[in-house]
Amino acid sequence: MAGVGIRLNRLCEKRPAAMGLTETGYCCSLPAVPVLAAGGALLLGRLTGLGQPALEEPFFRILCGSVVFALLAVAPLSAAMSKFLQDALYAGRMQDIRPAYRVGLALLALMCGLLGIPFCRWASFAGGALASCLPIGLCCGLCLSLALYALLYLFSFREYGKAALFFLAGLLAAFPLAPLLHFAAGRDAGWSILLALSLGFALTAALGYASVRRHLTAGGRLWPVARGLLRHWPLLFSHFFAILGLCLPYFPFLAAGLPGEAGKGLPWPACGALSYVAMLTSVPALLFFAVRADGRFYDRYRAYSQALFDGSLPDIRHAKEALSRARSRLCREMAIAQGVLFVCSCLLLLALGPRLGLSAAALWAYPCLAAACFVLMQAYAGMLFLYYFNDLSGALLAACAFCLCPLSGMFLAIRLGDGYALGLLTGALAGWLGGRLRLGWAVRHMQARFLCRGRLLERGKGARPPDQVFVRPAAAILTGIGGDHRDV
Amino acid sequence: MRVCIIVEGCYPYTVGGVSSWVHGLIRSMPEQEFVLLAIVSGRELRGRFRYPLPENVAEVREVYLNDQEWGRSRRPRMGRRAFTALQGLLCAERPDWETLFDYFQDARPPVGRLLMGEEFMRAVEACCQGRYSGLAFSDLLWNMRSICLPLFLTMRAGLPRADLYHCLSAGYAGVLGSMAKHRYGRPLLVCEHGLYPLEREEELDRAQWVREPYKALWKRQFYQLSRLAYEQADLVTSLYEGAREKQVKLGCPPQKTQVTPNGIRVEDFQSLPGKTEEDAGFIQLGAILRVAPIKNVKLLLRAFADAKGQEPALKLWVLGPWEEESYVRECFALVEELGAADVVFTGPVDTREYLGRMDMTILTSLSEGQPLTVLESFAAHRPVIATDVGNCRGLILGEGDALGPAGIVVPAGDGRGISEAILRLARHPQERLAMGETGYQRVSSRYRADQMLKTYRQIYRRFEEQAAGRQQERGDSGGGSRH
Repeated sequence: MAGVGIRLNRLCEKRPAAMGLTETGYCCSLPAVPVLAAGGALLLGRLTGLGQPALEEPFFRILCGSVVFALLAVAPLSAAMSKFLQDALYAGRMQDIRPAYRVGLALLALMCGLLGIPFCRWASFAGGALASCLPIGLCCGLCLSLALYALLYLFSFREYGKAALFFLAGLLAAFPLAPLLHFAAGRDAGWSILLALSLGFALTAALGYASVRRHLTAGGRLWPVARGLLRHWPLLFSHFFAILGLCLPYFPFLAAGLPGEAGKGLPWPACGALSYVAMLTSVPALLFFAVRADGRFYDRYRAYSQALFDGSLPDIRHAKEALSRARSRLCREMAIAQGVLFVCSCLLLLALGPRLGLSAAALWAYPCLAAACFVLMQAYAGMLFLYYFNDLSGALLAACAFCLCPLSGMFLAIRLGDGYALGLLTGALAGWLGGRLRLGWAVRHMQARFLCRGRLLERGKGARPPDQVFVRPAAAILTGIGGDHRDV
Repeated sequence: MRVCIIVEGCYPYTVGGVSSWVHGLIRSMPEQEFVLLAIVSGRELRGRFRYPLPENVAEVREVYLNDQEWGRSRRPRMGRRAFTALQGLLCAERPDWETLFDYFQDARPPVGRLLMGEEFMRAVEACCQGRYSGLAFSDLLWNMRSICLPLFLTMRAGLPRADLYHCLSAGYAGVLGSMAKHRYGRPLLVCEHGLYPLEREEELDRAQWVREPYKALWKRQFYQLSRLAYEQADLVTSLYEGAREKQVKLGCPPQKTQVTPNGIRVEDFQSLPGKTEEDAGFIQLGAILRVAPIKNVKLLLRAFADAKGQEPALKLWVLGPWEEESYVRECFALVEELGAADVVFTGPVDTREYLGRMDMTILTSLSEGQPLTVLESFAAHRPVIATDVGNCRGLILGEGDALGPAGIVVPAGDGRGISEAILRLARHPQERLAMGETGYQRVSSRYRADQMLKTYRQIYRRFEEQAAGRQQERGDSGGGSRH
C-alpha cells in the first residue's frame, strides 16, 4: 500500500549549529578597529615626530569620519558574507568563493557609493580644513574598507594570524611613509598621516587578497551565489545597524564643527575626546568577551548543538542548562571586566582631569559616557549571542533597537538642551533592554530554531491542481456516456 | 444513492484482487452512483487509471500521501484544544479525533509547515517525556514527522458529499471515512479484504528504510488508525470468520462485524480454452499473482526448481503484472541461477485464456485475505496449492462443508512442503481432478458473485432506509443537518 514508504533521509538536513563562531569573532573585532586606527594615528604622530600638528582637530575628525565610513560600508557584508562563506566551506562548494568575492566587492562598491554621499556632504558642510582633507579622507576610508573586506576572507578561512600580521604590516608601513611625505613632499602633517594610513590599509588589502586568492577556484556562477548571499538579508541590515550603534560614541568627533555644545559647559571636541576614552576602556572587555566566547562558551555551545542532533531529550535539557550557565557567566565576567575598567578610568580621570585641563562639566559627563559605552558593549554582546543562536530576525530587531534607541535618546537630549551623554546612556539602556528581551525569547525557542529549520515538502509550481481528476456530468450518468479527465 | 468508495493504493490505479473486486461491485450496481476517493502515493500517479471507469462513476478524487506544498498561506495558530488533540495522537492516548478533523478541515493548515513548526516539536517533546526519553530526540522528531505526514495530508483532503462512505480498508481510507462521517453525518461502511494493521506490520518487519525503535511507532500509528475506523464505522465486514475474530481483537465492537465472503462469476470460467499443442507433455502449474515480494515468488521458483528436478514434465507459468522492477529482475536472475527450465513470466494477461491450460495453480504469498485467484481456479475446476495465510486454508480445506480438500495447504515459507505438494499433484492426476471438482462445488455453493452482490445490495439498502428514516425524522422535527 501507498502509506508506508516516506523516506526520512531526504528530509533530514543535519548541520552543526556551531557554525556562527567565526563570523561572531570577526564581528567582535570590528568595533576595535576605529580605536586601533585612532590609537595608531596618535602613535604615528607621536613617534614620527609630526607631533602637535597631527593632533589638530580637523585631522582627527576626518580620520574618525573615514573609519566610521569604512566600518559602515563593510558592516552589512561582514556578517552575511562570512556566514555565506562558512556555509560554502562546510558544504565544500569551493567554486562559490570566487563569485562570492566578486558579489561582495560589488556590494562594497555600492555601500561606499551610498555612504560617500553623506560623508562628502558632512565634510563640505563643515568646510575649512575639513573640506580640504575630504579627498584624502575618502581615500583612507575606501582603503580601510578594502582592507577590512580582505580581512573578512582571512577570518573565514580561519587565518587569524595572517589577518593580524597583515593589519600590523599595513600600520607599520605607514610609519616611515608619514614623515617621508611630510618632510620630503612638504605636505602638512595631517594629510601625510592620512595618506600614509591609506597606503598602509591598501597594503593590508593587497596582502589579504594575495593570500585568499589561492582559495578562489573557478567554476561558480555569479547569480546563484548572489541569491544565496542575499538570503541572509537580515544579517546585512542587522550588522549595519549594530555597527552604526557602536559608532554612536564617535559622533561627537564628527559633530565637532557644529554649533552648540554636547552638554552644559561641555563643547563637542571635549565630548569627542571623552567618548574616545570611554570606548577605549570598553574595547578590552569586548575582546575579552571574544576570547572567552571562543573557549568555554563555544564548548558548551558545541555540546548543545551535538545534543540537539543525536542526544535524547534529557541530554538536550542538560546541555541547554549548561549553555545558559556559560552564557550568564560570560556576560557576568564581561560586565565585571568592563566595570573594573570603568571605575578605574573614572577615578583616573577625576584624579588627573583637572591637571589635564578638563572642565568640571567634562568630568561629570565622563561617567555617563563611559556607562553608555558599557551598556552599548553589553547590548552588542547580547546581539552576538543572537547570531550564535541563529536568530537572524531577532538580531535585526535587536540591532534596530540597539541603534535607534541611543540615537533618538541622544538627539532628544540635545534638543532638550540637556546632556548628550545622558541621552546616549538612556537610549543605550532602552536598546539593551530590547535586545535582552529578544535574547530571552531566542533562548526559550532555541531548540525549535535548530530542529524546525528547513522545508519538509517541496514547493509546487503554480496553483494547486484540483483533487478531482475525473468528473462525469449528471446527464452522462443517466445516459451512461461521456465524462472528463481533468488536468490529467 | 451516492456512494463514496474510499480506496488506498489500488483501484483504479493498480491491477489486483481488491481492484477487480471494486470494479466488479461498481459495474454490478448500475442503479447506484459512485464517487471514488482514491488514496495514492503521490501526484506522479495522477489520473493514471488502469481500469476503464464504469458509467456510474460520477467523480474521481485523489488524496496524496506525499505531496508538495502549494501556495503561500500562513499556518494558522493551533488552539489549545487542537494542540492537546495532537499531543494525544502522537502519544497514542485516545486522541480527540473530532477536534483534529475539525482543525484540519476548517483551517486547512499547510502540512509541511505544521510539521516543521514549533508546536509540533513541543507535542513530540511532551510525548517523549516518559516512554521515548532514551531515544535521540531529533531522530524521534523526524520519524514522527514522517509518520504524521501522510496522515495529516489525508486529514487535510477535501471530502466529496455522499449518502454512504464505503471504505475498502481501515488505515488512511478509514480516516477519510471517519472524517466524512463526522463532517456530513453519513454512515460509514468498512469492508476489509486484508487486515490493515497486520499487513502494515508485516511490511514494516521487512522494511529497511526505518530502524527498529521507530518501527514500533509506525505500527502503533496503524493500529490507532484501524481502531478509529472500527469505532466510527456503522458496519465492518470481513471476508471470513478468522478475519472477523482478528478485527474484534483489534478493537472492533463485535456487534458491528459481519462476514461477507468474496464472490466471482463462476459462469465466466466455464468452457475455457484447454491445452494447446505447445502444452502437450507438460504438467502445467499456474501462479496467478503480481510479481512482488509479498507474493514470495522467489520461494515459488526455488520450490518449482526442486520439483522440476524430480518431475521433468512440470512447467511453471507466472501469470500477472510485474510490479517491482528490481524484484522482477531478481526473479529472472534466480531462474537462471537455479537453471530451472520451463518457467514462463507472461506479464499481465487475461487469466481466463490460461487457466484452462493449467493442471493446477499455486499461491505462495506471505500475506493474503481471501484470494480471488483461488476462487477463479476452483471455478475453472483446478486444484490449488497455497500457503497457510489469510483464508487459504478455509477455501481449500473447507469451512463447515463436507466437500473435502480442493488442494493442498502448506505452511508459509515452507519451500520443501511446496515442492512436495507440487510433486504429489503432478504424480496423482486422479486426485488432482477430484480436488478440482471439489473446488468447483465449493465456489459454486458459497463464493458466487451474485451471492456477494446480494449481500452488498442488502447492506446498501439498509443504509438507504436508515438515511431515509433519519431524513423523515428530521423533516418531522423540522431540524437540519449538522453541516
